[in-house]
Amino acid sequence: MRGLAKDLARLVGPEGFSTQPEDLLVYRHDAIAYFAQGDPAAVVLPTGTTQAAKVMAYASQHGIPLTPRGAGSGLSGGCTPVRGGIVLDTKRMKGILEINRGNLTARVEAGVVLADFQQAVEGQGFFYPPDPQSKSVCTLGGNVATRAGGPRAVKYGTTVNYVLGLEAVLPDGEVIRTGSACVKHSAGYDLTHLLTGSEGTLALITQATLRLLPKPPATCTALAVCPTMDMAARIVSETIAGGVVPSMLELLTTASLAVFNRFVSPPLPEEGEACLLMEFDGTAQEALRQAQEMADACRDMGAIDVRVVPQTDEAAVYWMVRSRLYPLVVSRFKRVVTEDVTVPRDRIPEFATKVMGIAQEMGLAMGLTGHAGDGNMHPTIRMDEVSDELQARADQAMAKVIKAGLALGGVISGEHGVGLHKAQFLELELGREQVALMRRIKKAFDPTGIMNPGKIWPPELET
Amino acid sequence: MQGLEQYREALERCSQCGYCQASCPVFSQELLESYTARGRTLLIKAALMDGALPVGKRTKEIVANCLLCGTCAHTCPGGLPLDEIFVAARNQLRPSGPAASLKRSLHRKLMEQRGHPGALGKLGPLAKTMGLAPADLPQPAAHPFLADQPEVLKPSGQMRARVAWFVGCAANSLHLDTAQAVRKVLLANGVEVVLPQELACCGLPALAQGEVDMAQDLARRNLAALAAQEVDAVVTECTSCVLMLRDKMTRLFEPESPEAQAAQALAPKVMEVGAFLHKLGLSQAPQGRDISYTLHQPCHAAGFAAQVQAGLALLEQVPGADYRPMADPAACCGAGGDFFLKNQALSQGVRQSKMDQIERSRAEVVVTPCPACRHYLGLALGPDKVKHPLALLAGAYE
Ligand SMILES: Cc1cc2nc3c(=O)[nH]c(=O)nc-3n(C[C@H](O)[C@H](O)[C@H](O)COP(=O)(O)OP(=O)(O)OC[C@H]3O[C@@H](n4cnc5c(N)ncnc54)[C@H](O)[C@@H]3O)c2cc1C
Ligand code: SF4
Ligand code: SF4
Repeated sequence: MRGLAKDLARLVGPEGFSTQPEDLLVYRHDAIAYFAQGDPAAVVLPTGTTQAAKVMAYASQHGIPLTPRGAGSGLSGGCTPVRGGIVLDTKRMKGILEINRGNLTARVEAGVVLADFQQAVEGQGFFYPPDPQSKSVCTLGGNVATRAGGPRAVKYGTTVNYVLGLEAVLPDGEVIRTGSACVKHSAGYDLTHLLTGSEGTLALITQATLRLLPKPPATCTALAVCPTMDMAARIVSETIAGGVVPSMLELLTTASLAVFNRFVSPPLPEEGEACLLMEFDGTAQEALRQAQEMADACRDMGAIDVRVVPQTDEAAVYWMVRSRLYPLVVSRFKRVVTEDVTVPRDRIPEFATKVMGIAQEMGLAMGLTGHAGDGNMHPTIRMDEVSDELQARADQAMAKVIKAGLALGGVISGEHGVGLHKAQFLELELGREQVALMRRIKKAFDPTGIMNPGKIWPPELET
Repeated sequence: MQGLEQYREALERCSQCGYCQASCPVFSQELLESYTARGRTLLIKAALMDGALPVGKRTKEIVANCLLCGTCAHTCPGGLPLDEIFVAARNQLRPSGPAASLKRSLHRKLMEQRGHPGALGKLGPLAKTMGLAPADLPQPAAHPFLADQPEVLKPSGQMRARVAWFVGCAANSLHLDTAQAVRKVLLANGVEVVLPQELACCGLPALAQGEVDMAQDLARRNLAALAAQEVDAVVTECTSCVLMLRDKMTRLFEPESPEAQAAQALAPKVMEVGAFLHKLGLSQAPQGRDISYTLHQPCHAAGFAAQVQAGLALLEQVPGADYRPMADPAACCGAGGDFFLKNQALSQGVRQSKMDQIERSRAEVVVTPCPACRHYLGLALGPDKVKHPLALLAGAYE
């Protein structure tokens, strides 16, 4: 793109962008390297809405594809610049603009890192529950753009439940403010929640007004090692049916027990097929009581080992390990393909059986983990070698898993978004008419089609 | 720690999770992803290993813009030896030509002389030759600490333990107060101290320049000198020396080689001097001191933070001394060895966040066992405001 560097220097200054291939390598993909397809022409790092708007207007005028990027921790290829062009990195827009005690809201810029935000609000006695496990790096803009969730979704919902308003830049550079800082709002179409989860295909989110909660006084963690996957799945659905609402309820494979054992003592028995890691919150007494009741229930159902960890610092170790399990697994295999299917919670046992059946039928090593408390499952295929044949088989297996999930009333993605990875399945879940309507909405926002092209739906649907 | 090629498998294990963004002091200033370990490793692989990208100025700049603090390696869930990979990259990118070899031989001499320029003359002209800014360089003492020490120092009372003391280059030639404090506290507590004469610099500064051969030569010399000692422990007051002697040196040579085995045998005996004293217990009670202090934990201690904490616990035995923790004692100070000399703006940015934390702790002095952190924080706070933890303890033995 001739003259690009000169134009960008004019728009954002020489420090605000790079067109050097050495800098651009890392911007070719998100947390999944094999999604990389195109080479971006530039990465641009605006420091605020004004600069971002200038860049967007420029890209529109010149028909340059533009892909928003937060931390690049996505797992669906969402911020992968498949058509090249500009990667718009929001990480320099990192101001926490306001924490409003009286209204229990906060206003932030898109590039604020989730963990920094949580630390800031918790320092003032507040609580921002959404907790994708990548929280040490992922941005609030990325969270909003993907409707990110995490273990706490079982009790507190996902990012979508906390977004009250947004500031966004439309592709032509115009700035809009949607929603408000009010708890209730019923004027006009809810563009706030249309942009929430739009994966950078409609507009660039530059600021968000987020809802806060008072911080629960105490938490208590518990862990149960289960002899079978089926038992673990049944514990989850019976817990939910019994009206107990843990603040986190995670299903893990027994392989993770070995990882826990590197950090915790006494060691956990590395047996069985699955384990459940959970947390309860409330007053210290309430949290402990719920954890103990849950522990008793797990023992009654035949769990091999159950422990209750009331100390926060000790419990933090379990949750630290939890947040590192996925990258750890990936680092042990040549390639890992992971899915994000979510099913109604009463269907988890059936889904688990289906997944294990598919793994066997296709001759693949598959693990099943997930934020089980909210039905969000991460079936994960682990490959010791990479070949076209194996990848094709893995793709086939994942297609079967997705269809099995849909047949149980599930959805193709619970939290990672569609991105590149699941574009081919969108119609399968939503149907032709709904996708066609979404295409018309996309056209209304982005008539020239510069915003994150190649995502959400397959290229043949892009007209 | 030879060529980059030996890290290929490790590089392939990178999950691309991006978690290394969370902790890199350079990235936190620039916020450009090519400075994260994820970006650096992708670049190193493409440019320096696969030849997919020509090696240009920008590659060198990115490789050089790293404090080698190792924080990313400690953050990485996959446990990639990231800082070692960055050293190997520097090794491959070492400049050649007469100026570079002059610089290299001066550097080697300085390390062989345990940080003291001695006959090389004042550091000033030397620094000029090396292209460093003399204004911010610490001035070496006229006589190094070790110049007038006997080979064995006898404790005042009954002998409770015998150690070999690895005096770091900084304590030997720049921060003599640290060396004097360590000597005083060890002797007051019944520790007999051996000062092996043949020791040289631990070699970590050589590694930071990518000078792997030089680091190996120094390590061989140190291993030989220490193997000969009959002692309970090898102690050192410098965090970077601990890191080198306990950790880096074990991977500096071919696995299974005699040197690697010697390094493996030595590693568990190496202790930060404060941690050693804490384990031994003080036999002489410190007097009261009316002082408040906060700890800055050096990044090189990330793998043995418990030792720094043990050293800190010693200070809690000083009546009246008031510990005022800062928000994140382990956050980088920006020094990165001599990184701050060449990357002033970046280092100052990192240091500013640290200064804010120090100010909020409202402590009178900062204690830190790393001489580079001490020097660099001292440039901003004033030299008397930053000390080695044992200097604070030594003050309670007046
Ligand atoms: C180890 C690991 C664990 C994870 N665990 C979870 C989990 O528990 N739950 C979960 O939900 N996710 C999880 N993720 C996925 C990922 O972290 C989340 O999707 C996160 O929300 C992405 O944030 P980001 O800032 O990295 O966005 P990116 O990956 O940079 O971008 C994600 C998408 O959002 C768009 N986007 C980003 N910023 C903006 C903006 N300002 N305006 C418009 N569009 C934008 C991008 O174009 C892209 O489509 C995990 C990832 C990893 C690597
Ligand atoms: S944290 Fe480790 S595994 Fe993750 S991207 Fe960084 S280097 Fe790779
Ligand atoms: S060693 Fe330190 S400065 Fe270098 S990449 Fe890692 S964290 Fe950043």
